[in-house]
Amino acid sequence: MEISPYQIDILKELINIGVGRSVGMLNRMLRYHIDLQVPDVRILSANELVVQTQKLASEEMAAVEMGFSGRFRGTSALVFTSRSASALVSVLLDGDPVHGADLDMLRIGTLQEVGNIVLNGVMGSIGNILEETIDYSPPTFEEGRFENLVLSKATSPEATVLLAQTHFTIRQVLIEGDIVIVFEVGAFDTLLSLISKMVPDEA
Amino acid sequence: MDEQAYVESKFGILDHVPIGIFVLRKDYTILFWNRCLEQWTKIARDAIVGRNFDDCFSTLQKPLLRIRLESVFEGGPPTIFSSQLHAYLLPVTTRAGKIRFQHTIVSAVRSADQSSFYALFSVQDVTDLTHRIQDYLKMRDQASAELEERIKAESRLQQQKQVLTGLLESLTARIALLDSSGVIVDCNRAWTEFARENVINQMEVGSNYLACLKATVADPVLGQNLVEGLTAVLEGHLARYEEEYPFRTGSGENWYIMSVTPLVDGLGGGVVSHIDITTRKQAEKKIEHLALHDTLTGIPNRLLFSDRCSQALARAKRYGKSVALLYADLDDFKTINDRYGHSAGDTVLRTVARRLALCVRESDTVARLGGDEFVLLLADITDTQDASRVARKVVHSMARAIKFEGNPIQAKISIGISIYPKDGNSMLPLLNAADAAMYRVKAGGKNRYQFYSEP
Repeated sequence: MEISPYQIDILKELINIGVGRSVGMLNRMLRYHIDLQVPDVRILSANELVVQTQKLASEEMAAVEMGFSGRFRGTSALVFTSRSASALVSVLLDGDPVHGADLDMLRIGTLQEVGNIVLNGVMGSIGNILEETIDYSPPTFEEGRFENLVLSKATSPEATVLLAQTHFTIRQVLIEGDIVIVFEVGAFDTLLSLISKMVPDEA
Repeated sequence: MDEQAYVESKFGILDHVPIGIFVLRKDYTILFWNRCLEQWTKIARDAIVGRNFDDCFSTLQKPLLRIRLESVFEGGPPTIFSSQLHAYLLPVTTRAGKIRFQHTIVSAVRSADQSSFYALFSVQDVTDLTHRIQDYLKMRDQASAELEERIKAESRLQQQKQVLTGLLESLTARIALLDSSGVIVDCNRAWTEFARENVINQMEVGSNYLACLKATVADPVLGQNLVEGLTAVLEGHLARYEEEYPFRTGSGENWYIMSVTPLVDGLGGGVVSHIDITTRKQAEKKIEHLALHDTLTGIPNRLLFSDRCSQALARAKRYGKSVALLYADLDDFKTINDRYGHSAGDTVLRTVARRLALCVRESDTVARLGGDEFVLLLADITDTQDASRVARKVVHSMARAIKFEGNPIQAKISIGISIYPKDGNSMLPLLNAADAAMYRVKAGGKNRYQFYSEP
């Protein structure tokens, strides 16, 4: 399905609204001011994303993932490089980068909550324009190579992927992460048709 | 099915999981409270179900939590409250009385009538883990504080070292640090430059300085002294060792003082310094020379003569030898002074001193006792002939006129000779005897010599 520039703009807007809401929440919850920007939103097929992210293939990533199901199926995730994930946790917890088996839990808990807030903002924003309720599975935390994380959840290489790069700046530390939403076949078309309804002049 | 029956049928199975689970209606009424929570809170399900959560606990009243929970009640995505950012949602303690840290996930579940959503709280106890992490963090903070302190101390030390290095580099003294075996560990610029200028390779860092001294000090006695002194300090037997020594450099003979002090008491190793004392030595020599020599003629004065005389007599006594004293007095010196002036007199005295010195062996002494009086000390003579030979040479050496501003001045000399041991046992009687003999010459016509013992 062809995507018009208007639809892309609306998608970007939806993501930005969701992220904005999350940041508002994080800023109030944490002691620090968090600046979060979404410089780029792209729509790709799962295949295209695999090709694009091959350069990241060897890098360890950390992801907070949340599946959604029902008629509108897919997975949303906030993906960090391990370095960014450690930096984020250490900034939030006032310490140096943390390592070690027990400390995984410390990282995981914190990342899970931050990821949860960001994803809830984004998914809430998308959910608002859907006419039906989305069923969510509990957020999980995973680590591994990019293709083994979010993309492995896509059941078809034809699945559509929304990739939004995000830049957090917390206490002058820049943390980069990607919001990745994998829409199973059909789900993205549903979203686009709903968006189209919001753009009466588009046709 | 009424709400309570629905809840029990739907969530009853959650009594069997080791996770605290409770369910809230949108109005915060507690609908379900599992066994695990009964144990943690000591509140029975019957006692709490149906009550408003806010009446039992105050923890969910924070607006920020409320906002996030609202979206769950609207069927939104699950919400996580981590132990790291919130510590706990239920204020309960462990059996040991410690606060129970909790990781809570709140999910939306359909209400009994399917028209709205309940919030299902699943609370995971992460107390042990959190304490382990806290202990670790405490340890890490301590370690990091200690590290910081050590870094500061090292930085202070570094600064002190820089000051010290700057100081050492600016000194002209050659300074090196030796380990307990004498190997050069560090040295200053003056040390390196000295080694380079004098092409001494063994003075480099890493070389053994004891070996260097053995190889480079020409005087074997001095070399042995330096090595022994240095070793004694390095081995802790001596608190300080100093030795003054001459060293021939490109610019002539210089004098140095080598000092060795232990580096740290008892640990071995030491600091060696060489300070150039050439100027001091030269001054000392000058002072010594001034004290023992006649300023006008440069030959020994009465003081040095006395010393040499005593030594010569002692030696003669020991080896059964003879010593001759030749007491020489210029004839009519007053007339020269009166006629040509005092400068002329001085010139005559200097010339006479020089001519006298040429008449004796190097081991003999020519001294000026004062005025126009000289004495020649001939040590270790075997025969009085030796003395008369010198006396003849002296009288003869005066035959040539002394030039002063174009004028020839004829100096003449009268000599009285005394012989040890024949004419006296010590310096004074011998001097008196020679003096008396000299007066006899003066009375008898001057410009010749006479032995005291001669009639």
